[in-house]
Amino acid sequence: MRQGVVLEAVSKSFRGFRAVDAVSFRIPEGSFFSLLGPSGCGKSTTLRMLSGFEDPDEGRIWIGDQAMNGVPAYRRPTNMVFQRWALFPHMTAFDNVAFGPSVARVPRADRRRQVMEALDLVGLADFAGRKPRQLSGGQMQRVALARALVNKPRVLLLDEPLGALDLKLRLQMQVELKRIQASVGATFVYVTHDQGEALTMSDQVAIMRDGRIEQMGAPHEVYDAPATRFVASFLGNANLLPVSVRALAGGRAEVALGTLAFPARVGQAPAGATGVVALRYEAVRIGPAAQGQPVRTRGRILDASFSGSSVHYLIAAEPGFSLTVEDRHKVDERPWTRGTEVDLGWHGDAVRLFPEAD
Amino acid sequence: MACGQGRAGLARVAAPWLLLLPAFLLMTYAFVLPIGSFLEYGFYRFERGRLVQDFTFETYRRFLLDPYYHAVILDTVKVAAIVTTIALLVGYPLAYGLWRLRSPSLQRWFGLIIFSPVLVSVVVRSYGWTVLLADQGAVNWTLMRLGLIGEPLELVYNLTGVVISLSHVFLPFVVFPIYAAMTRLDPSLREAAMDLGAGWWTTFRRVTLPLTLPGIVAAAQIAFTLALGALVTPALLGGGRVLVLPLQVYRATSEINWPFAAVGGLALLLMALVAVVLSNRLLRYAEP
Ligand SMILES: Nc1ncnc2c1ncn2[C@@H]1O[C@H](COP(=O)(O)OP(=O)(O)OP(=O)(O)O)[C@@H](O)[C@H]1O
Ligand SMILES: [Mg+2]
Repeated sequence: MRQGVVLEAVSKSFRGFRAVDAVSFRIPEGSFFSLLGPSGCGKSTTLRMLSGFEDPDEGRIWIGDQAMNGVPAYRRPTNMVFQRWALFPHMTAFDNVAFGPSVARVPRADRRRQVMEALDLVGLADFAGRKPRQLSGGQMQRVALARALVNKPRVLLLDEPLGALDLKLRLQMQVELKRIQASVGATFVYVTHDQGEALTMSDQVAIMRDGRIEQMGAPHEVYDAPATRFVASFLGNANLLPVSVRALAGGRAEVALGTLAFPARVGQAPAGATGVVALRYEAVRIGPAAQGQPVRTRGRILDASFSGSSVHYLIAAEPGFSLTVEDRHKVDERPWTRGTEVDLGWHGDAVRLFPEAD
Repeated sequence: MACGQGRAGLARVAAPWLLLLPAFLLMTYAFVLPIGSFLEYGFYRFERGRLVQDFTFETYRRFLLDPYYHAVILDTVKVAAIVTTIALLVGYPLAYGLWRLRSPSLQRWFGLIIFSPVLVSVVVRSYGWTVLLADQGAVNWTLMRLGLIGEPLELVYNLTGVVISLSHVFLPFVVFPIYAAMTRLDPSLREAAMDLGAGWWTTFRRVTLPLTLPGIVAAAQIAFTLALGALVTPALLGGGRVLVLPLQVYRATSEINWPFAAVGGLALLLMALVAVVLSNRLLRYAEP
C-alpha cells in the first residue's frame, strides 16, 4: 500500500514550454515538504497539478493509494491556501470557512462547531462576523488557512501563503504554521521562493530550477551538501571562486586558488582541470578565530557592512582573489575596520567543488 | 510663493469644475429646462385642437384616472420587464461563454457579433424581423417543417414581435456590463470554490453569480430604461396592438397636444427613475 504523496516523472507544458519537467518525489504522510526555487521555476504548476487545477501531460500522481490523474479538484483529498488567499469577498469569515462543510452537506449544528473550531485554531474566533475587507492581511491569511483546514484535508497545499505579509508577521506565521501542522497531522506541501522559510519549517526540501528538481533532502543536508553549483549558490550565501584542480579522487579533491592550495569535497566533478569552489560566507573564520583552521591565509579588509547580528567583510586575500566573509557580531566588539590585515582560515570540508559551467 | 501656491491650489480646485462645465451647460439646456417647461405645459389644457393656457390639473386627472392610460402604462412596463428579463436570460449565458473562451481573438470576434445589432438602423432591423417572423417567414416555415406546429404562430404585429426585436437589439447593452463584471473577478476565487469541493453549479450559484450581480443590475437598468423609451420598434412591429407610452406621447406631439405629451413624458421619466432607484437598492446586497 502506498503512503503519502507520490509524483512519478510528472511533466507539464504550456504551448510547448516545459514548465515542469519529469519531476518525481515522495512525501511521507504527515510531513512538511517544501518546494523551493526562483520565480518561474514551476513550483506553482507542480502544486496546481496536486490540487487538480492542472492535469499533467505525462507522469502519475498518487495521494495515498489513490491515483489522482483525471480526478477533478473538488474530489481530491487536498485543500489549497492561495498566494493572495482568494477569500470570497461577499462572505464573512465564518461563511468563508463554512463553504467547504456546507458543500459537503455537514449538518448545520456540526458545521457551526467545526467552523468555530477552525477559526479558534488560527486564533480568529472573535472575527467570525467580519467580511474580508474588514480584515488585515495577516487575518485574511488565517481565515484562508482555517477555510482549508476545516475540511480535514489529507494534504494541505500552500502557495507562498506568507508572501504578502511583512517580515515580523511572516516569522510569527511560520511558527504558527508549524504548530498547526503538528496539531492537525496533515501532510503540508509548501511552495516558497524564500529559502529561510523553507529551511526553517520543512522536514524535506526540494530545490527546483527550470522545471526540474535539482536536489531534495532534509534542510541541513541540502544546505551542508549541495549537489549542484546552483543549489550551493541559491541556499545561503556562498563565494564562488574559480580554481584549478590538482587532484581528484573519490569524493575529495585538491584545488589551487592562485598560490593557495587546499582540499575540497566534490559536489559535482568537473570534467577538465578547472572548476569553481563554493565557500560559504560563514564558513570562513577571521582574525584570532582563524588560528587552528586547516586552511590558512591572510587578507586585507576592503569593506565592512554591519547588519546587527553579523558583519560582512569583503576581503582581498593574499593569494590573489577576493571573497566575502560573514562574522558573527558579539556584544561590545568593534567590527574590523577597512584596511586591516587579518588572518583567514577555513575547514576543507566546508569547500565544495563544482564544474565551471553551470 | 504663497501667491503661486494659492494659484496652483485654485487651479486644482477649479479644474474638475471647468471640465464638467460643458456637460453641465448641455444638461441644463437639454434636460433641466425642458423638464421645467414639461411641468409648465402639463398644467395647461388641450381643447378642440387648441392649447388653452390656464392652470389646471385636468390633464393629470385624465391621465391618472382613465382606464385606457392604465392599460398603456401597464403595457409599457410589461414590455420593458419582459424585454429586460429575456435579454438577461439570453445575455448572461452569452457573457459567461464569452468570458470562458480561451482564445482572445475568438473573444474579439464574438464580441463584435454580439455588438452587431446596434450597427444596423432600427428601421432596417425592424423590417428584417417582420420578414423573418411573418406567417410565411423563415421561423414559422422551419417550425412547420419540423412538424412542431401545424398553424403558423403569430409572431409579429403583436407584443411577441416587439419583445423579440427589442431583446435582440438590447443584447449588447446587457452582455457587456455583465462580461465586464466577470473579467473583474479574481480567477482564483472559482478555483478556491472548486478546491473546497464545489462543482460547477455550486461554484456558479455561490460565487460567480453573486459577485457578478452588480453587472446584472447595471445591465437590467440599461435594458429596462431603453425599453421604456422605445418608439420605432413598437410602432413598426406592434401592428397597432402594442400601445406603449412613447407611442402615445409621439401621437400627442403630432397633434400638438402639448399638455398630454408633457404628462406622458414625465410619467416615463418617473418610471425610469423608480427602476434605477430600486435596482440600486438591490446592489447593496451584492456589496463586499
Ligand atoms: N497557464 C499558463 N500558461 C502559460 N504559461 C504558464 C502558465 N502557468 C505557468 N506558466 C509558465 O510556466 C512557468 C512556471 O510557472 P509557475 O507559476 O509554476 O512558476 P513559479 O515557480 O510558481 O513562480 P513564482 O515564484 O513566480 O510564482 C513560468 O515560466 C510560467 O510563465
Ligand atoms: Mg507561483
